Amino acid sequence: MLLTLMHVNSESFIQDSTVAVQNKTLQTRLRVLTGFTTKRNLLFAELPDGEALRDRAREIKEETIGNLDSYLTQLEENVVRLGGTVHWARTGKEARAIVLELARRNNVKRVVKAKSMVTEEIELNEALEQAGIEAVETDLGEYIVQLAHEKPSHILAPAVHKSKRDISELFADKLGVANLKEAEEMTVVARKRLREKFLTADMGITGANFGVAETGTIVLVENEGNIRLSTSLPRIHVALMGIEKLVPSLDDLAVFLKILARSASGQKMSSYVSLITGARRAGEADGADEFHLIILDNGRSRILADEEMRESLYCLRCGACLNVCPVYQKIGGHAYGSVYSGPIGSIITPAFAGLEKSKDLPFASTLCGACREICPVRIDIPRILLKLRSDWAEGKHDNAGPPLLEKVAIKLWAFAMRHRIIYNLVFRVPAFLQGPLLEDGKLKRLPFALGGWTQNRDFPALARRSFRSMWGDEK
Amino acid sequence: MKVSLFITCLVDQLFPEVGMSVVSVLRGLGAEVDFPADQTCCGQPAFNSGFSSEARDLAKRFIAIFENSEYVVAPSGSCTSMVRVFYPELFRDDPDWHKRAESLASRTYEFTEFVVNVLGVEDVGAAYHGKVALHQSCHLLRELNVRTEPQRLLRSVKGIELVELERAEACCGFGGLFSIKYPHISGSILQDKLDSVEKSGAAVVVASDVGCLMHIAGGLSRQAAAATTMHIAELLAKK
Amino acid sequence: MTAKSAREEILEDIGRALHREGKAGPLRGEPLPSASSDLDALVSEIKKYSEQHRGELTKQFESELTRVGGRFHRATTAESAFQYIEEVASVRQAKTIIAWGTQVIDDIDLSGKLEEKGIKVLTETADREFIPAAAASDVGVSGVDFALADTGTLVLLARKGQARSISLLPPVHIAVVKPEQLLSGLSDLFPLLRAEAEAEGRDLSSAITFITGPSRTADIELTLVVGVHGPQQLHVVLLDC
Repeated sequence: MLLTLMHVNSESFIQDSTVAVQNKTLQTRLRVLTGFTTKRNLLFAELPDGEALRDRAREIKEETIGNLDSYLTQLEENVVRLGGTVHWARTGKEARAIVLELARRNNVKRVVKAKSMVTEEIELNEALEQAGIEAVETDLGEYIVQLAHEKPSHILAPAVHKSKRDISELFADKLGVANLKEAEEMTVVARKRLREKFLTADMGITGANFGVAETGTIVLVENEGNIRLSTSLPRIHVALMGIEKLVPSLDDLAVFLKILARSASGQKMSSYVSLITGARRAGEADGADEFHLIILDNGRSRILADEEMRESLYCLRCGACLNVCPVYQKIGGHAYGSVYSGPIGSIITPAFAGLEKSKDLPFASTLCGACREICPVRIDIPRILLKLRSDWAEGKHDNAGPPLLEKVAIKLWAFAMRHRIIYNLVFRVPAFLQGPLLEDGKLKRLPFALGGWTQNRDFPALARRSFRSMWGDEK
Repeated sequence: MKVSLFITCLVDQLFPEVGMSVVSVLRGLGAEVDFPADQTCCGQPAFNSGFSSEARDLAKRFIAIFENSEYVVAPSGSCTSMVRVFYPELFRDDPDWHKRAESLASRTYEFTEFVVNVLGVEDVGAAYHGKVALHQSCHLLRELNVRTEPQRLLRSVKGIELVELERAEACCGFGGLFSIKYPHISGSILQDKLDSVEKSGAAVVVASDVGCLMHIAGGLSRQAAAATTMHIAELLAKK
Repeated sequence: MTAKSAREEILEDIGRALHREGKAGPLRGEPLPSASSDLDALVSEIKKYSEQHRGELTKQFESELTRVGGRFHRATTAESAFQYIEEVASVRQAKTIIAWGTQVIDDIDLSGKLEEKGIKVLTETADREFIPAAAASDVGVSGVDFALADTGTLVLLARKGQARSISLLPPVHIAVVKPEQLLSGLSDLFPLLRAEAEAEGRDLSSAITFITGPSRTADIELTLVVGVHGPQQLHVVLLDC
């Protein structure tokens, strides 16, 4: 029995994506994401060794993931040696319990949180709130979606689906500050509100962009400064890290730091990178007194075991694949019904939540390959999508598989294709009968399952004579 | 030089003139063209839908029909990808069939890449007066890595006015069965492509895949737009 | 039969996933230059390179820093450095400045001179007052440990006298850089960090912070706003004397 490790709403993909493509505000908002791609392309073109760096990054991930247990124990040793505490969590449930216990033990009332996909994945905020602990998202985009009681819709820009007007209304409603028009004004308000939270929080919770095994270092990348504040001011720092986020050494880290910001946001380097190794040392005036690292599995070792899926663990969560995906560009992140959206989301969501609940995700792709082309570690997402489609057809990952009608239809189709004469008839009969249905030489309405096409397109008439018939003449 | 024509089911049954154009261009360049009549479908629809077993059956049938050909040429980037890229993968666990698939794959080409890279020709002697824009089909571009061949052929067409399509490399939204399973998303992606076409001022949109073309044409026609579509082989056959 | 710990189970699951019977294999054989002699050689190479290309590196650093919205001032005397800092403070109508308690700040005689102008200069204290004081300061002045030319990045190590809050809480951050701290990029930085740690018989600092420009966000309609939670202004004074 497959354990569903992450909650999703992907079952309503078709309805949600239908609403999304008709949402004019969303469409306008999403269009600006191409700016990231343009900048990314410029920066990579500028690098003398951009392609070599990507290859090297992939190699490092292959080495690391291929020896993950060794590197994890090495990381643990180093963190502990430097006064940190390492906790291991098999599931999100265990991870939440660890955080809550740490909070309880330390009388934590207020938590400041940095943007972290992993904490969204395990629904940590809900658990904290239920325990009566105030958990404040401090990344501006996350702060906005938290105020709106929504989920983030993009890895890098969680509130990309919201217009300035949406945010202005939200601030008026939730913060009591009205008539804010420009992004700068709204940011000033958020800065002030959140500064107070940083200064009074008992615990800072972050994810980890990388864990450096050889030094026991957690690496956090940001532009706003909220991570620096969350890790410098509260007395306890808790970092949650998926098992796959490791790199072996600082020299390996350098490779990733060179390509991460370029891929994610078209910057040579993000404004701040924090390399945190343990808690503050004796004599230091700030920094957490206690550092806790929670190493989380939650389905990742399951992905690891699947050799075809394994490379999805190389993902840096840069968001570049979302920005270039023609499907994401039209439906946005929420329609996927998962914390992880876009191309990467389409392959890991079924692994975390099972195919039964997320069966549309591997199919809602044109397999155009733009994601693979831009991925800094060259994950072959189209291949994995195809593999998941095949898993679905075979009823793997605890899913019911195709409905009987579809199985029968494909068998009939395959039968027809194996017999030339039947193949030909399959087309020639409709070609013969289509006359009365043609308008201006085109079909405006197709029957049954094919009707989706003619919702918004005309369909060409079948040729009066097939090529093979015309060839017959030639001979 | 003997070329076996891999017609593809869409061209065979919906756009036979594309096939005739391919034959005409290849013969004009001195190649002998034959048509193995037993061919049907390469199996891509089954493969893309996850039905690998059915896809394998059709692949075996296809390989048996074509494996003695010197060259196999198809007027389609996606069907060529199926044979060249995915057939060997389908038979990963079957060493005999894998070998046969790899052998066939090494001799299978998409039409424009065959003309430019195997026949070594960029000017096929075509003439066409009009504003033409090229849409770059995804499989051709990203599975087969055929990036400049279609443009090079088009540039040599006498009288042609080649116009840039904004975001020419962006997917048109066809994606095979995706176009029917998720028509709202498919149509929405298509709209961007249609807007680019309008912006370019092109009278004709050309591509290497009839899947893309019928999807784009379907949108142009539904919106009563002036532009039309043409397969690149048809344009190259024009004198 | 005791239940397996989460740690045991996860490591076992991973081992099984990687088709390993029993214990994990050795780590990557590729030697890192961590053997002392190799590291020493690499470090001297890096230092030599930086010294020989100092002019270029300085130019590159300035250009990259400016590109990300930082401001650069080259001071050929301690007096000139002080004057720049004073100018910034005066434009901000600063009442309080908080500074690193390190040599470079002493070299400019920041405290002495600014007190004369009526601006309080605070340094790090080991008590509860420190963070509120830093939060209430108008300008933070720090040194740096290194500066990376290829991205215009400052590298600051947390340690006694170099509190993190100083370069983080006030709305303006001024960093004083010495030319010998300039390196070409990350690949040169990490060996030096390691060498320094080894030489001082300690591990890596509790927090190494890379600062590349002022704080920023594009979370609202992807409109760039400079100055979010971290400093809104970043100035770098190159103390070249």
